[in-house]
Amino acid sequence: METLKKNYWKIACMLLLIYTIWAGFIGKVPRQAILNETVRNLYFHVTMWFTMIFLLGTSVYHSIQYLRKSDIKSDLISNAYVETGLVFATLGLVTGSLWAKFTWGDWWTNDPKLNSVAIGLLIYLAYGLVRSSMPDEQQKARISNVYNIFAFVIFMILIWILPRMTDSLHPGNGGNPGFSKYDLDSNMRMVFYPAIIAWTMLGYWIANLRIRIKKLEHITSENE
Amino acid sequence: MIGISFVGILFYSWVMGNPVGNLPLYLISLLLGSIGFSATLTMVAGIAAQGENSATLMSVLSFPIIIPLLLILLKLSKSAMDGISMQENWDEMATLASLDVIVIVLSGILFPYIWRH
Repeated sequence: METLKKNYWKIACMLLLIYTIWAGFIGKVPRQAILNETVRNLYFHVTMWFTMIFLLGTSVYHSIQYLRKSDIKSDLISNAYVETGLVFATLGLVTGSLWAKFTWGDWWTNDPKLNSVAIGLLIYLAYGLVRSSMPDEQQKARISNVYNIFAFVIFMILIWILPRMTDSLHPGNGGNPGFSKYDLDSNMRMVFYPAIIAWTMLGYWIANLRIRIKKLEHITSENE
Repeated sequence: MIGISFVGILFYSWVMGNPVGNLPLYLISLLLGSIGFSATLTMVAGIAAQGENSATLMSVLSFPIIIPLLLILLKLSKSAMDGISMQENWDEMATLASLDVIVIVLSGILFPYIWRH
């Protein structure tokens, strides 16, 4: 009973994911020119980025906690969230690339939004570099958490504000309307919103596992 | 940084003539850009100085971090070159100024944590 109480959200996550995938692949979608069936990618591509932003945001929260309290656990947690967020970012990039191939005709276009994201990923790769180049543990934690907060702010500016100021193919930027305007009918909303919740829950689940692994590693390295 | 950039523009306009169409806009973007650059680079240098291989770390870290600033500056200075009026570029200037403010505030808050031993 105790395990059920603690883990009911994982079951909910599984059910929602099954629903997302089932409805995502065979549910009803509106017919649109150019988009055709690829509009289904909305349930996968867009939700990946949502999840990534939630995860990175949580990681920033834990970074701030670390800087306030200097508890090494917060550092491990924040690091795990960044790692999981990056996995989702990569998935978002891959699904986006697929979508671009079938709607814009190329795997990669030099679109402001795409380039911004590529630079954003570079910023976070540099985060890994910062972590690996610091000699002792306290210093590594402190510097990388400072960098994490800084990087998150720059990343958000990069993907939310800058692409909006230029011409872009990507929906929601540069005068293009987002999908919500007319492509999303109520059928799709019924899948889209649960999909966001489902992928986000999955993200937190994976991050949770990473955190537990990291904590165990930390304990074993202390005992040695 | 501001000093260097102003010496730079004076020297260049002396040697090669000044092709800038809208000088006030250009100077404002120069000013805001130097402030932003110095705040960001100080922050990154502070981070890099703690590492083992600080010179390499510095260049790798600063490149992606500086890009947003660089993009806006490129756009602004291009429109200043073409002599487009101040009103048309209000959006970019506001973004640049707010980016500066954000970076300065963030560096101000976070910098003490870098130097604390």
